[in-house]
Amino acid sequence: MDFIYLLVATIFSDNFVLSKLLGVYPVINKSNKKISIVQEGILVTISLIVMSIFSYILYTWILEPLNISYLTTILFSLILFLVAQLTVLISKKMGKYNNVGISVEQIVANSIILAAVLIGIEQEHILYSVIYAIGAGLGYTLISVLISDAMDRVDEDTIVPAFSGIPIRLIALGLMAYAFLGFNGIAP
Amino acid sequence: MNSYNNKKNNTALLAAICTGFVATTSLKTALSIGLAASIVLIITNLIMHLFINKAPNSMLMLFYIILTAFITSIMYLIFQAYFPDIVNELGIYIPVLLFTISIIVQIFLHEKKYSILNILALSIGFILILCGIGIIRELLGGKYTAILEAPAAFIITGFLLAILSGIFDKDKKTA
Repeated sequence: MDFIYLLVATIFSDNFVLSKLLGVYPVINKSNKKISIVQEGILVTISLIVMSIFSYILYTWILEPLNISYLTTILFSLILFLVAQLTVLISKKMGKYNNVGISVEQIVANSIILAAVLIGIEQEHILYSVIYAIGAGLGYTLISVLISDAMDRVDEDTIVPAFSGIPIRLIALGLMAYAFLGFNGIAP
Repeated sequence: MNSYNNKKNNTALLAAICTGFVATTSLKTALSIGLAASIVLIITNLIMHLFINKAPNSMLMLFYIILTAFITSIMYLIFQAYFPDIVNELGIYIPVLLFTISIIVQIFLHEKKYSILNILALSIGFILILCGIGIIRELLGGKYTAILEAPAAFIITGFLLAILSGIFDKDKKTA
C-alpha cells in the first residue's frame, strides 16, 4: 500500500515539474506532436528506472561502506552518461515508430533524472527508489502532454507579441501548478 | 551571423534561467546559486578551451560532463564548509542545479569553441535575471505567502520575460 501512496504522491501532489521546479525547460521547449512527446517521456522514464537501480546499488554497497560519498556527483554523472547512451540506442531500435530523435545531451541535461536519483538513494529500500523514479518519469510525461494540449487550444494570433512563445507557456504552467496544489493531501 | 549568435545566446540564457527556478525563493539563494553556476561554467569552459585540440571530437561531450561534475563536487564541498545555511535550505539541489545549468548552456550554445567572452556575458545576464526574480519573490513574499509557493515562480518569470522582450526586442516572434 505504501508503494501506491508513493506513486500517486510523486505523480500528482509532489510533481517534479510543478512543485519541485525541476526540468522546466525540457517541458516548455517542445513541438506540439503528442506521439513524440509521449515517446520521449517513456524514454526518460526508462533511463530513470535503470539509473535508479544502478545508483542505489552503487551507493549502498560501495560508496557508503567505504565512506567516500563525496564522489556521488562524479560517479552518478558518469552513470547518467552511460544510461543516456543506452536509451538513445533503444530509441534507435524502435525503427519506424521512432518520432523522437532524442540525443544523449538532451537526457543528460534533464535535471529531473539526477534529482530523482539523488533523492531516491535516501530511501530505505531499493523498491521505494524504483517507484520514486517511475513516479518522477510519469509525472514529467503527464505535464508535457498537458502543456502541449493547453498550447493547442491557445489561439496564437490573439496573444500580444511580447507574450508569445516561452512567456505564455510559463504562465500556463504556473496556472496549472496552482490547479495541482489541489492534489495536496491526496496521499497520507 | 551576429543576430544568429545572439539568438543562440538568448536560448541558452533562457534554458539556464528556467533550470535555476528552485533557487529563487530569496535574494541570497538566487545570488549564491547564480555566482556558483557562473564559476562552474567559466572554469569548465576555460579548461575545455585549453584542451580542445588535444581530444578526439566525439569524446568532447564526455570530457565536458566529467569536468563539470568534478568542479560541481568541489563547489558543493565549499558550500558545505562555508555556507551551511544555504545547504540547509537547498540541500541536494545545489549539485543538481550547478551540473544541469553548465550542461544545458553548452548544449544550446552548440559550438565547439568554448569562447570565454560569450560565457562571461551570459553569466552576467544569468545572475542579473535570477537575482531579479529573487528580489521580487522576497519582497512580495513578505506580504503574500502565496508568492513563496512554487507556482508563483512561473508566473513572475513569465511576466518578467514578456516585459524584457517587449522592451528590448521590438520585432521578435519568440523569446
